[in-house]
Amino acid sequence: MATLTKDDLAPGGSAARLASRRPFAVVPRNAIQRTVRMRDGVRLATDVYLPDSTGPWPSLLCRLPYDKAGEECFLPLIAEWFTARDYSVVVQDCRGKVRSDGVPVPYRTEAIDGFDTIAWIAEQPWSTGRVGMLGDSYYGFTQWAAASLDPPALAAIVPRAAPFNYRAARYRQGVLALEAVASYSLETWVDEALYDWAGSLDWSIRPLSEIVPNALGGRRPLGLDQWAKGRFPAASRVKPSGRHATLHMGGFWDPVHRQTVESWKIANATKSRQVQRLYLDTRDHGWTPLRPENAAYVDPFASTTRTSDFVDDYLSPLLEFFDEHVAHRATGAATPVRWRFSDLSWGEGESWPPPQARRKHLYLSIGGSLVEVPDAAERSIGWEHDPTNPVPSLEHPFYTLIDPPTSSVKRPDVLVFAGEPSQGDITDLVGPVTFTVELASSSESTHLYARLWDMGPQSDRRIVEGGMHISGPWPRKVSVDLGHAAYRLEPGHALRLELASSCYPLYAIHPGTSDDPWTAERFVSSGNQISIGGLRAAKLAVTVLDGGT
Amino acid sequence: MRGFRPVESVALLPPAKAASARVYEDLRRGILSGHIAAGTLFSEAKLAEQLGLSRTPLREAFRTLLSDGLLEEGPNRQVQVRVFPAQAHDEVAAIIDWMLRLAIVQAAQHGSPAHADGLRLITIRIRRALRQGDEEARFDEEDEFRLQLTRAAEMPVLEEVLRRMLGQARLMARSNGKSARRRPKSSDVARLDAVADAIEQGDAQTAGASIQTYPFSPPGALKSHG
Repeated sequence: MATLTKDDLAPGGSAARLASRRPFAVVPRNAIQRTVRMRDGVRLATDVYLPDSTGPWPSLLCRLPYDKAGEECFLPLIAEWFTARDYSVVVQDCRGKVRSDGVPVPYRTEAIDGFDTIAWIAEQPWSTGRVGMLGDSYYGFTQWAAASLDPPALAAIVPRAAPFNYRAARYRQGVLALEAVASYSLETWVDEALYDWAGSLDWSIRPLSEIVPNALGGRRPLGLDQWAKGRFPAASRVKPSGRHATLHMGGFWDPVHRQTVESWKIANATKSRQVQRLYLDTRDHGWTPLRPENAAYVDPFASTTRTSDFVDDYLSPLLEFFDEHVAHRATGAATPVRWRFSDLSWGEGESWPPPQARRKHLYLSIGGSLVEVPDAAERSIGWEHDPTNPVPSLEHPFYTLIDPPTSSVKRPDVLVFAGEPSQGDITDLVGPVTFTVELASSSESTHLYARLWDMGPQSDRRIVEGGMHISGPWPRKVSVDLGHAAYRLEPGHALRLELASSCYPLYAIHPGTSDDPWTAERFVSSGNQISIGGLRAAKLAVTVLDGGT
Repeated sequence: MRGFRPVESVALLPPAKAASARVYEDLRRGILSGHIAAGTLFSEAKLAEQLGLSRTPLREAFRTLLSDGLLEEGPNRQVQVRVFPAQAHDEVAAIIDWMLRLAIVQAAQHGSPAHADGLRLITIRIRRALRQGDEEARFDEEDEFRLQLTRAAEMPVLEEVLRRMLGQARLMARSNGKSARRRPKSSDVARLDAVADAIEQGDAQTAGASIQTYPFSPPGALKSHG
């Protein structure tokens, strides 16, 4: 959807087809295919990969709903990489998914299934009885879930791009992350299989609730309607306990990175905590790296060499952590927090944001600029929100960095405020970014989206983004969370803030009425306005390191 | 582009099958599912033209199906889907029965947990096929379960012969219109799980007794013959 055009959004404008069921991958010959019996008798399909050396070996576990042998998560390659480094590797299809028995229900049994599987591993003759867990996204969540029950053999976890609270991950301050929820539920939670969704979602369909069922011939994925109404089961929330050594890994261009920072903060604040490290990289949800301007995307699986380089890069930070905490092969002196800047250099420190960072405010000026001193006079500026003609989001819900937008949408309902180009003094944004504003609407409630761009001499790059559902009475003062950044603004580049009331299909559309956006079929235009200047000046708050690190 | 991570490459997929292997599998599936009836005549030239293939892969596929016992020589240098005499049914059922007894004894001697898990992974698929009412998938998995017993016994020659016998039994059942015995219930599939448990524990007697009670399709496959 990265090149979404207005035609795609117009009714009947997109050529959707039915989502296709993906065949199960072939389990590699070097995998020992096992089943592990859970406490209720259900058996989960589990592949064991053992090194060629003499065991027993420390063990690494990965539990996922995406096919343990599939190319999407390339666990066979991961297993090969870790077995070559003397770990036994166990990969398991989650309950009811792919080759595992039972009924697939997202979240519900991940804690006990993880606990029981870790106990099984610890009893095996090939395991030293010390287990680490790894995985991204939902298979990072399965780590949080298992760890919540304190399995005695669990030594360390490395959740990457992983929510520990799914409701928080699927909403931005009350706004449904529609495209992520729709595509994810369609791919993963229809039945035991996985479904390819590219090209199958017709975003012109209303109500929004029918977009996914339309791609499935009328079937509704498990959980879709509950999630879209904000109802997530208790099992989808796990509080990081800090009781296991944890490497919290996230990418600044992954919307889930807020959860990565949050899990580290929560675990780090606990009393009986084990080692907690935060690792923030310039990546998206699929760990696609940020590229220098004009550099073409390189498919990591296009050749054996590229795949090998990608897997090395993808797993090396984990090896260091597992060697220290699972295999006891190294003593760690690593810094608690590491982050990568947009120029691909690394920073490190004791906390996030670094203690020497300071908050800096940039005010919106009536002339469309971002300034350090607010306008003296308070004025308001308005725009129309037309829910039948939403502002296109232009970026992929998960793989933001494969084909990132290089310029924003120019429309009268998108407000733009640009700062002065940097004069050679490097400005580093290192930490959270928020936008605070006083807003009023002709509707009972509305949405506000804010995106911060780096405006370069040749092309632009989106740095952070966020959205918020806001209800009256008006005017209301609100702060929109735009996430975190480690961004180095090069000379000649400037910051630009964009404001709008829709961002579709990344986020659900506010119908302009009090109807639920999920089921709304009636759409009314509304007028929104914000205050600029004076005592109630709208402002962007960034966290900066003066003069770089 | 896929849900979690886009992967356009097919690096982890098995290499594409040769045309002869594809044609063989398609024809075998057509015969076992009853879509191609016993007695159907195939002309190599005509079928090659229909499928847009050269005659060489088709000839190879025919040769393998002939050795499987699913095709036989027909008139005018054609081949036809094999027509069995009525009494062959009981004989094939008895042969399958004896082969399974042999496999179970050997498999129980090995008592390998991984082999038992190989059986359990199949019972998971049988349960799923039952839930989804997918009879063809169930027949396939029931055959697979029996073949897995020969693998657990580490008897590759037996596996090869059993595979042919199971194919012939299915073709016969199709021809006789007897493809449906009674539909298994979940309690029946639990009997197959009991076979896996008994194999793991080295208990051939319990494994043999458990498998006897499962209503395999096609019919008669484990009637007591001695």
